[in-house]
Amino acid sequence: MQEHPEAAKKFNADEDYVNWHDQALWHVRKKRARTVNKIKGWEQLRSLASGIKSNVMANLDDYLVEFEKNALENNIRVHWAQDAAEHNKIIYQILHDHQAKKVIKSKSMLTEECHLNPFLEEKGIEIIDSDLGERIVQLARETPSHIVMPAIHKKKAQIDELLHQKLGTKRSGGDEVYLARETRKHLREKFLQADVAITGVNFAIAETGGFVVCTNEGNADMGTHLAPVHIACMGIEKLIPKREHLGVFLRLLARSATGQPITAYSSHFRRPAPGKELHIVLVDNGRTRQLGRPDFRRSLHCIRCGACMNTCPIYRRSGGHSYNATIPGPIGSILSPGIDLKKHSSLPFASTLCGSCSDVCPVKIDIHRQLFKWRQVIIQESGGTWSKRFSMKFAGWLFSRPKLFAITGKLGNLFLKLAPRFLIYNRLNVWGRERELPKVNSKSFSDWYKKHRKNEP
Amino acid sequence: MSRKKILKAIKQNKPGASPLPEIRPDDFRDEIDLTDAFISNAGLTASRVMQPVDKGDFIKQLKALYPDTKKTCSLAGDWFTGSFDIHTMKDPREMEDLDLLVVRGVHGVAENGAVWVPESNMGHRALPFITKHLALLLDKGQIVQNMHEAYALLSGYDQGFGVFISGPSKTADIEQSLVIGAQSALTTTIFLV
Repeated sequence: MQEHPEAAKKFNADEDYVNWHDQALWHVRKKRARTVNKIKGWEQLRSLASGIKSNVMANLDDYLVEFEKNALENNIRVHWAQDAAEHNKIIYQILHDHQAKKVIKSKSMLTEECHLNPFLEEKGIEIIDSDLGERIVQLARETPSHIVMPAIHKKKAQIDELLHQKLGTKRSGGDEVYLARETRKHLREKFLQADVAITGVNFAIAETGGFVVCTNEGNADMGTHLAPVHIACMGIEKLIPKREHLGVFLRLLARSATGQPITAYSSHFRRPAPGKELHIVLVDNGRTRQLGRPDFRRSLHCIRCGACMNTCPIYRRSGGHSYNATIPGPIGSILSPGIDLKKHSSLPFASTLCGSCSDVCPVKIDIHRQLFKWRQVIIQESGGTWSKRFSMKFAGWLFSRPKLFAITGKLGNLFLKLAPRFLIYNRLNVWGRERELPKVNSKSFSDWYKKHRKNEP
Repeated sequence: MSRKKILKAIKQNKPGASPLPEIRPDDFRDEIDLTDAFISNAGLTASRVMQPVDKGDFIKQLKALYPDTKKTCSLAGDWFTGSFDIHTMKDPREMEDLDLLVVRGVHGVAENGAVWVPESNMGHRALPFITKHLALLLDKGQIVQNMHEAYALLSGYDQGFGVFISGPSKTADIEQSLVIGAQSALTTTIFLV
């Protein structure tokens, strides 16, 4: 199992590429800041969203039952899946009932989490991702590296070459308009041929039994309104109590995600179109377990905007794939250990704990605190690495001896000032890799403190 | 049975009571001119906004904006008659070559330039998406300030489908470069009347 630091190191092999990736995400993060500052009551909006989500978690069973009742009345067929395998089986059964061979799918992180595509492909079903970024990573046989911008890790030239090879487009030097138009033609064919359309769900409303799907490309709508069958897949935490709450969440979602005031299309599904079928699959897959962890249950508030990724200094400089998890970045690093603690045990450490993720989170998840709490769980269970255990023990021993600590500190400073470079910047000093250590101050803090204390009245 | 198991697990694991907060619309009210704000924000989403003075002016503007349209379809009553009668449509896939669709929006939202279009206004759910160009007619008096006000107006809404449309389809999936016109409409024009 490759851990995050190793994967991040590989990502950092090409400095220009890392800087480009960093800036691409920072650009989106700046757009968010500009949009957010334009509207009145942004912080009230976040508080409302957080409060609504807390209420949802406290009443999730009742809301699910209410949602199901209303959905059934609206002629929507409701399915329940405990885990990924059951989710995939339900979908395959629906496809089988309709003898469906071709499926068109708009963005859904849940189906990524359940590995639906490989499951269906193995059964001989063609499944096409219809969001441009998702189609790009699908053609490249990769996974999304970001939950909102799946192909953010790819440069124009790479996409140009990929589409040339897979779709036979001309080599355009990375002309985005040409490439987008050609993919539009390719996807139009797929929309027209599809037997079944699959979508994710952004918000499902208990009060109405309906749900909302947001896209910029209009790909969810192209799929669902043409195909005879629509299957919507949702994690059970996507529920909200009332329609009026959509006002809160739709105002927050796109602004947080890309800095747009709203996505191009916010589609409200409530009943199947005449003569068509509409299915909804409610999926647990570890969510009820996370609900039972008081320190971590608020991670279920997430509305998948990706703002925490765009702002995270580690994500921007290590890339989504380095997390080796369906959901990367800060939010993924608190969700994934709840699914498989062993596999994802390096992720809570992929953070500076600067707290920027929590500051931008539209539903006020205390992400950086949860990262810290996961670290405690992991160290307690694994005992940590030998070097970490030893250094912590040594530090504890030293800190409890003030005089020795003062002498060691002085000696250390003297060493850093006088020692030759190779003694300081060597293999053992991870803090001296790729960067200079800060200049040593001539005076220690305790000297400074003693001196200024004297001047106090 | 999974349904039972999931509900049982939630009952066991859920946190204690947490009251549902109340949305206070006044927290979000701004002193703005609704039409001006709508026009400016619709522009940001790449919608074009026109303000025809009457039906004749509307037709003139429409023809000037879309000179080369062959297959057109209108659900805007006597405002415009398209070349294709929607009632003769057997399958929405026939509309792949639709150049222009004219429909009526019901509400506009100033804060984001979005227009609410319910299923009853669009003829078929696929049309606003499959068309190359989308023309939305919107009554100026139906513009509200923000999404909270929009949902207050939609509280009695009971249709199978409806959509907030904010601009044409778009993508920035290729190196964050914005491309207008992705999988759905290539352009959206809002006619304020």
